[in-house]
Amino acid sequence: MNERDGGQRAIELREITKVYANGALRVPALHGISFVIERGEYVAIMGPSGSGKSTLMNLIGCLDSPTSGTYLLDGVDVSKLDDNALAAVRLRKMGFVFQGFNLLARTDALRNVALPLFYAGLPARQRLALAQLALEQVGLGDRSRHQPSQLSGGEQQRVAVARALINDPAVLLADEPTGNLDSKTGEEIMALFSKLHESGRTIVVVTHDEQIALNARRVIRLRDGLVVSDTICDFFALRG
Amino acid sequence: MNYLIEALATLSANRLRTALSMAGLIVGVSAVIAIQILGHAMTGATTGIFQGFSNYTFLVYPNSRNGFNQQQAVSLAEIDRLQSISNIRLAIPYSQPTLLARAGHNTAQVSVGPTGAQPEFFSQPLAQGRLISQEEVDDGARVCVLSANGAAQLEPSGSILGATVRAGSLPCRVVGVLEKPPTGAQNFNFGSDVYLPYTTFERHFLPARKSYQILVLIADIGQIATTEDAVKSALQQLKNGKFSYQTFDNFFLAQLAARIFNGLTLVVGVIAGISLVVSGIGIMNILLVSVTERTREIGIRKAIGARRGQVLAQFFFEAAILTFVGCGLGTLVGIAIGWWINTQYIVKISGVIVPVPWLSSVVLATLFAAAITLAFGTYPAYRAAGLNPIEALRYE
Repeated sequence: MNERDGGQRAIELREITKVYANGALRVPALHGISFVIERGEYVAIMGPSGSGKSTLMNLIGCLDSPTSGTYLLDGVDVSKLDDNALAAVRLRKMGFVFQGFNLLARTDALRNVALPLFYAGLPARQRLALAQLALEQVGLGDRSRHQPSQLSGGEQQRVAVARALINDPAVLLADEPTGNLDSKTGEEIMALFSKLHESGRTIVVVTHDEQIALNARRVIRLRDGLVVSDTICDFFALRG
Repeated sequence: MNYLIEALATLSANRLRTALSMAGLIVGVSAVIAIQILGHAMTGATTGIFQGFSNYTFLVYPNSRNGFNQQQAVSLAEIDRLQSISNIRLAIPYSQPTLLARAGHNTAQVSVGPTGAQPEFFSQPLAQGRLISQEEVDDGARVCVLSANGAAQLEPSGSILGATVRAGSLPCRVVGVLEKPPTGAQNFNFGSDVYLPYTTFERHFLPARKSYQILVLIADIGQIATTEDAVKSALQQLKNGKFSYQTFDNFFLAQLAARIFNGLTLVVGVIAGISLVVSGIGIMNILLVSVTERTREIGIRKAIGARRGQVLAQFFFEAAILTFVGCGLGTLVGIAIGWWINTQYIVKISGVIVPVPWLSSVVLATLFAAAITLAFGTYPAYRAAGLNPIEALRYE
């Protein structure tokens, strides 16, 4: 592996394990995962159901803590943090895009996008101004006062992307971002991701869709809680 | 402040939910307050309808279920002798015939009763003129004092002071008029409309110089029970133990009223309690119905970096706003309804607007509703804020 300095690494996992304890029953989900994602990388994490893909996503997204191992996010060890500290990490360093969009219902796009800034403690005017900018970046500047129910699926997902990016996170983490979209709209979202990647964003997409994974520059495949392959997709090699 | 704005934004974004919980609060709180106010007004009205009987007097009458026996009557001389019992200032024969009375061109059915010169005979102070003097009592003068009701019936248009009232066949000059009682329920008035000096009364209405009933004026109210017992046993002795007598006074009335009052208070309390519980369940229901939706919302908020405390604070603020506005409006509506029915309808039963302890009703209803709203408004947040955000997002 490369030996570039830690400051360049967006994500570094070292021997991460996760065991779900359900009473006396112990269900191991991850058996020791190690990999590094550099800043600016565009990575797809793939695997069949039961492979530990969702567990890994929860850990990377700071939604859960590993049973053992070390997780450095943007150079900071987040593997031993408590709930509130994890929330703070999610707020500053992580942008989520979900399969089901997960926008607040009956709340317009602008307020949805501004929501993370509320928890960051910004004053209302500043929140809304920044949210408007973020919406313009995803091409929805004219839709800011529309509610989720008045937006198409693709537009809703773009609002979600704007919300994910508003805190300028270290990592944009997407969970099946096109799962609820038709293929054409899905392509639009993936095009947006590519554009974000080109502008330097670190993107991690968790998916089981090979087509989606093709957009990424690197694919990490999981099976039974272990990494089975980690491939850099050479654009030319792929085409060739 | 930020939380307040955010809470207001959430409330206004979810108008239906807000309106429903608000409606539940308003209906619940106002119903409880209105019921309590009405209940208290009603019990107040009931206690207010017994009046017209002075605290300084008690009535003695034969203890008999089937009308009075001739032999139970007490002669005027014997009544006079009762005054040797301590604490008795005056004992006079009593009855209260209802007669057709005339004053000028007006006629009315009035009750006529005896009185002495002592102001303690009356439960009401004088409004005009004077009371009957001791000389007039001694002389058996043809003068009278009218109750406010009697005066109003005999001379609806104005002052009757100095005029002559013909009670039955007895003409007498009006020297004084009493004030209107604080409660105007004339149906239950134990006082008379026309008060005559008892000497005059004896001459015209007790030709046999005997009376079944005796009105006793006492000096010390504190000893009324002892004095009543003494009178009862004196009369029983007088009749050689053949007849017994009983007494009737304001304390007896008060006991009677208290019994009715207690019953009504219980009923009102139970009804208010039931409506409190019903409204509580209503509010609870509305707030809990949205748990699924709110749990997802909490999942979203937590995923994007909200701390548990922040989520709880925001939900608490929402519930607090609901509580504040809902309870406030409910209180206003409840007091308005209670006041309106009180002034429009209950006043016709009791004659006055009964002061009601509306403050305690408001406090009770508001505290209960506020506790329910805060508890069940924050409950989804309390439960969901502990969930892993991903679990919360998948919550069905």
